[in-house]
Amino acid sequence: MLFTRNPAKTATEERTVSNEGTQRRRRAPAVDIWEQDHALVVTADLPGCDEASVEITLEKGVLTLRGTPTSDYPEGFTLVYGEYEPAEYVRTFTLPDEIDRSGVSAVVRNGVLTLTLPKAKEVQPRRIAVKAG
Amino acid sequence: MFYDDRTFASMERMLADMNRLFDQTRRDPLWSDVPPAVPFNVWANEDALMVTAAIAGLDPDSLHISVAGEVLTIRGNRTSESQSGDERTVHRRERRFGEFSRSLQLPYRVDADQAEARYNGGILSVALRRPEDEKPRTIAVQAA
Repeated sequence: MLFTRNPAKTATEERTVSNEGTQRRRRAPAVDIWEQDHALVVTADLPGCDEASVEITLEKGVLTLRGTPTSDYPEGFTLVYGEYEPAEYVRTFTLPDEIDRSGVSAVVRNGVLTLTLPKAKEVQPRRIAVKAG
Repeated sequence: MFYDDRTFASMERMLADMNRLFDQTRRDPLWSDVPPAVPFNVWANEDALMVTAAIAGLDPDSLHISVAGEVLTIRGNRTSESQSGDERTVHRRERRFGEFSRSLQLPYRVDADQAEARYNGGILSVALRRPEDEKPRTIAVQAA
């Protein structure tokens, strides 16, 4: 980041703050999105998040990812130099209609969320056999 | 000159906008071979230092952490989890992969033998103990 706030100031400010009472800055996590024949796959970097701290909602074709890292404050320590702040990761996507909503699955591993959004049956590519005339 | 809270609020907003602008520039495809950013936080108490780095999706085996005097070096390689051929059509590619290396000047010499590293949920934490002879000593003042 090119512009950072005075780290010394942050250190004193954050001294007594616990995970619960933290003012979290909202950040958009970096994502990769690719499409397979049968599904859309979304991967997002959510360092510090596990399956309990990631929330995924799907409402009216809008998919929202929300992650609140739980492990960003070591107990009994004071911040002396800071490059990343406690964040709340939020990102919203509008999905194409042809997603099979009931089949959406999500996995979090090492702070990476992988979301698989299967395509509805009627839009999956079908192979059309060519018969000899 | 008198500044009220709103002056600072608008400055913060401007700063946030500029950060966003630069972040977008970094996501430009031309920059895709830039190694992943590994932001550090350094924490301290009387007996130890704790260095944390936010980097998701690492294979812990790819990490090399070394301490030489007052310098901590963290090297690693972040590889994409998608199998090649798996990606039919790419819609977005913002995450960065590849090798990274960062060194950090510590506030004092640490005991390398007692360093411990842990990688959990995308956060790397390295605990470094402060040797006895590096601890501050209180000097008693005697009455003349």
